Amino acid sequence: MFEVIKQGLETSVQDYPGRVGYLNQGFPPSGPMDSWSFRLANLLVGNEESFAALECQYTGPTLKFEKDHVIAVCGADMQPKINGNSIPMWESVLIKSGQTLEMGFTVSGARSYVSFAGGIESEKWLNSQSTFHKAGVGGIDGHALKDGQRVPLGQANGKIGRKIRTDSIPEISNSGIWEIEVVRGPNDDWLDDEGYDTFIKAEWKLQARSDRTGFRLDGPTLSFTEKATNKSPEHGYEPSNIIDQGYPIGGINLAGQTPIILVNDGPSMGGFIVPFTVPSASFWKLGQAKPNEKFKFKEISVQEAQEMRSEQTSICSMGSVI
Amino acid sequence: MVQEYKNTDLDLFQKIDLTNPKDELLKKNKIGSSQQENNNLKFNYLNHEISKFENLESHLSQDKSKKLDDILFSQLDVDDYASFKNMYPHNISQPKLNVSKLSVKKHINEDGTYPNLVSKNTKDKTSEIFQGIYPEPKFLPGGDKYLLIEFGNVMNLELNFKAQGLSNLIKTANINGVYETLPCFASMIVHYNPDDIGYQDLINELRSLLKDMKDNDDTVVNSRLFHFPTVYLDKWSKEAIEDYIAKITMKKPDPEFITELNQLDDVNHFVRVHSGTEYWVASLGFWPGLPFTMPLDPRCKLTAPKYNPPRTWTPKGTVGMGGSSTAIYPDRLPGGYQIFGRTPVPIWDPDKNFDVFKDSICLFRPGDRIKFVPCDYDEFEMIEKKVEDKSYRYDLIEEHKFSIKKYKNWLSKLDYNKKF
Repeated sequence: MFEVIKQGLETSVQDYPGRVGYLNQGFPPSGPMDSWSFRLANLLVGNEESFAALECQYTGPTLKFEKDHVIAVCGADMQPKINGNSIPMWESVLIKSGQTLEMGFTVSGARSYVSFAGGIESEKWLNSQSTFHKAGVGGIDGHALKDGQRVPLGQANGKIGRKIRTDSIPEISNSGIWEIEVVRGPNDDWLDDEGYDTFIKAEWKLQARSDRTGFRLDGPTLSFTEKATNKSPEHGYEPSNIIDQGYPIGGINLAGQTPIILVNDGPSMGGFIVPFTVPSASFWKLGQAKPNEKFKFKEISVQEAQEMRSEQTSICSMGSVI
Repeated sequence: MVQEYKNTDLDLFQKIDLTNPKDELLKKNKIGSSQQENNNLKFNYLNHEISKFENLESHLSQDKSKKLDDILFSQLDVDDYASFKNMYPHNISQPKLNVSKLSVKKHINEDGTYPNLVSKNTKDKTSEIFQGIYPEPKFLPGGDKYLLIEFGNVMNLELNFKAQGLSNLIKTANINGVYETLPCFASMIVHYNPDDIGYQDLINELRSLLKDMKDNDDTVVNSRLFHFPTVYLDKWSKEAIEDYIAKITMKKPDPEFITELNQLDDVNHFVRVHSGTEYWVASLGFWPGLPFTMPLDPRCKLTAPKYNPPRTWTPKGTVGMGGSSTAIYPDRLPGGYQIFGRTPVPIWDPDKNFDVFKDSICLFRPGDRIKFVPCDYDEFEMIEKKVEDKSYRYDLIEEHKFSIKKYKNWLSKLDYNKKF
């Protein structure tokens, strides 16, 4: 059990891979945005990679523990401290009964993950503990942690001093520019060649108002093919309108002229085209990007995206824990 | 299938005269007077709304920008315009839309009004209903884990039958690596695990399922029929529309907007047409449990554009339409559909207060049908009380089978001159 002293900006319970299998009822998967860091955090404390842990966004929480626990902090660097003393990240550590874990504003990256040996004990909702804020379900009472809450933890004996091999840690860059892989489709043929070139060559700025439902991008205007302009009226009146369709998670939704990357809590369906999709292996970059940082997109094939995914799966294994 | 129209509270809907500057709604509107003259009846969606919206946005961001935390992240609150825009985004923050380059003129008249949506010859609708199906479905990638199958490019029932049919076959076939499917109007998403099945192998599997798929016409599906008591032209949706007009942008009240676009006599005529058919639940999405439905009687097919920009809130249980699809809002939500009615009957229930939710917290399944039954405020309140004390019994018929052959047969015998 820990008590929430300061809730942080938005600290939520997530598990991996989230609420899978309910798309056709309108539920997105939720789950951690940077599942690379999330899975490693769980492995460090001896959990399965799927266990529920905390996702902390931009400013981490302050938590007071009521029992001894083995924990690990991975992902964005929010300068975690126990009773005022800095603790290493990417390493399992012991926090003692009565001690306080304190995290601040991020100095690198956007999302930090705190895992606990034995995981977080909260009720599953549609087979997952992941918080889905929009509908107020999952996690603790359906929302992010709040000051004063007491959150029950599982009991397990983790080992302290376990570390992640340096070459298995995602490189969270502070350069302000991210190269993000994209796969063409499903609606890439709605953009003309010029529109495609513009999209790939541009530097897109991540808007401040981006969250777990969508990442809005600022950039140039894209041009369309005949498909976008000569269509039956039920598609809608904007060139980017299409007959409502299911959205892939990671789909780059073109809403009018604003690309929005639909992320973990995004809508499952809607009436805008999706000319490109961010593959799952690149999601950790989205999870660690901060508003006003720049995105450059790099096109890869479906097969390359799937290879990246398997590579990441093998990194997120006990082979990376030393 | 066509049921009799009941009396409803049509008179309660106060008609709003957009040409009358003294009208209450216009008084609330903050558009400058010169623009007001130009736009009383014509809605220029490309210029003044964008600039108005920009002002609103900068106003909101000024309020919000004081604290760093708020800029970076705000907890979603459907009444908060700024955070809402993340959730249901639109293009209005990009005012540099080059109309000629985009050639949107086919969809928006040059003066910014909408083109007429109704084809002159209503008989066209018979042939229209089964058009636009591709000879071969298109398989389109959505990153490394999703595949989109597109069956055609119009909104019609045949395509949805195909999508639902294939979705059922996939479930039965139990293909290794396929997590789930999401059938929609004319397409379907397949979510798969590339560790278990490659992209091309998945397409091959789906192709062979499609080959084995029985001719659609022989398909008989279980289809429950729900009756939804609904107050049309209700005070609650009217309040939401008024709030939108006051705070966001001027628009014609939704029922009158639909009436005009579809060349109906008046709003009462619109209510008769809308409630004159059963609606087929094509898909659930956007929000948990939200049904996207299509009218089964082609004579009742209406069309309406979505709000631009979208509404920040819609009362729970509101009935609305966009494109040719009708939806019920499961909760108080933002939204883009034109709205005109409200039902007291819940369609999603996380607490599982009613038997119908024992299998799922969402009421509907694809393939269900909905009939909106016009009711008055007394009936609405009576049902609302029963819902509150959990004694309400859903008005539904469980055992219906829906035969596509019979449906087509019924279509061929319809009197297209019938006036609703």
